[in-house]
Amino acid sequence: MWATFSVSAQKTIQATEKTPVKLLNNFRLEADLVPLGMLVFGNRQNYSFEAALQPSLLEKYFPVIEVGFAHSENTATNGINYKASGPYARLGFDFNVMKPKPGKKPTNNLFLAGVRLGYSAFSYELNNITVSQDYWGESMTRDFTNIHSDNIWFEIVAGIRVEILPHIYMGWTIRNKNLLANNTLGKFHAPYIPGYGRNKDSNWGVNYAIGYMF
Amino acid sequence: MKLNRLITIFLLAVFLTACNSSDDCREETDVKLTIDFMTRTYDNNSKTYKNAAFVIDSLTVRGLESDSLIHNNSKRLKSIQLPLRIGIDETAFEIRFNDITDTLHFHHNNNDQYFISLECGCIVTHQILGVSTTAHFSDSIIINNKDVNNIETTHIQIFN
Repeated sequence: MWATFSVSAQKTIQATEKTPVKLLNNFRLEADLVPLGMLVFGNRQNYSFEAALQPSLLEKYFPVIEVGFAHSENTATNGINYKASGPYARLGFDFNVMKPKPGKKPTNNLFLAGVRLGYSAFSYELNNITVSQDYWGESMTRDFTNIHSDNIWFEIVAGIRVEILPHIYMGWTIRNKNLLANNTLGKFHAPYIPGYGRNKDSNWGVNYAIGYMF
Repeated sequence: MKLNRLITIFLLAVFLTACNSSDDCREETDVKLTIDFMTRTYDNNSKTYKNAAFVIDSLTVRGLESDSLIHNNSKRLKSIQLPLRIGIDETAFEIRFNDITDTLHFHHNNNDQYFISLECGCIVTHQILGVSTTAHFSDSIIINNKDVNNIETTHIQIFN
C-alpha cells in the first residue's frame, strides 16, 4: 500500500514538475516505553503494550494509528477487587507546529499537536462486593465476573520527536483524555478502561516513545 | 526557551491531576424508605379538603421480629425513615403513634446489582409492590414513589 502511494506521488511530481513535496515522505513505527518501565519497576499486576504508526504526508500532516493492550487489577480499601483487560486503538492526526527558522538548517525534529479518537472493547470483573443492612443484620457478598463493555473517548495531544541517531527517534507525547459517554446511573461500569485509564470524565496520560523512521 | 516552559507547564498539570485520587466513598449509600405523616383538613374558605403535615407527639418504631428500636418515644415527628430488608421481599414494622399501635407491612422486590463505584460498591434498591396496615391509627396510605434508592424522597404518605 505504501509502495503504491509513493509511485503515485512520483508520477504527480513528474506531471506537475513544480514542488518536490512527496505525498508520503516516510513513516515512523514506535513503541511506548512507559508501560515497559512499569513492567520493570511496577507491581506486574498491571501491564500494557502500545505501538504507533505515523506516516508523514506532504511534510505537514501526520495521521496516526495507535494500538495497544492493557490489563489492570487492584483492590480498594473496602475490599472490592477489580480486573479489567482488553485491546484498544486510537485514530487521529498531528500537525508539526515547529516552523523551520529561516537561515537555519532544517531538522527532522518534530513538535506535534493533534487529536485522537480512542476506542476499547474489553472485559472486566468486580469481586468481593459486600452489601449489608445493619438494622436487620443482613449481609451479602457477591462477585460479578466476565462483564463486557466498550468505551469511546477523545484526546488532545502534544509531543516532541527528536532524531537521536539517523532514523531513530525518541520523544514524549502528553494527552488530555475525555470520555465521550457517561456511566449509566446504577449500572456496572469498569473502574479502569484500557488505553484510557481510570474511569472518570477526564484523564491525563503520557507516552515516552522510541521509534524507527522508514 | 518557549518550548521548555510549555513542557514544564504540561508536566506540572499532569502531576497535579494525578495526585487527587482518593479511595474514600463520597456517594450516598444509605437506602431508606421515607414516610410522611399527613392529615386532611377542611378549608372553610375554599370548601375543599387539603393535605397537611401531621406532627406525631410521641412515636415508637421497631422492625417486626427485631429487638432494637428505630425510634423510642421520639417527640414531634412528621416524617420517619425506615430500613427495608435486603435478603427477603417482606418487611414489617410496628409503629406506636402516641398510644395506638399499627403494624405496617411492605411487600417489595430487591435489586442487588445497583452499582455506585469501586470506592462505594453496590447498594440494594427496592421497588414497593404493596403496603398494608392494621389501620388502628392510620386511615389510608398513599404510595408516592415506589422506587427506594439512595435518593431522598417521600415514598409513603400515611393519613390519620
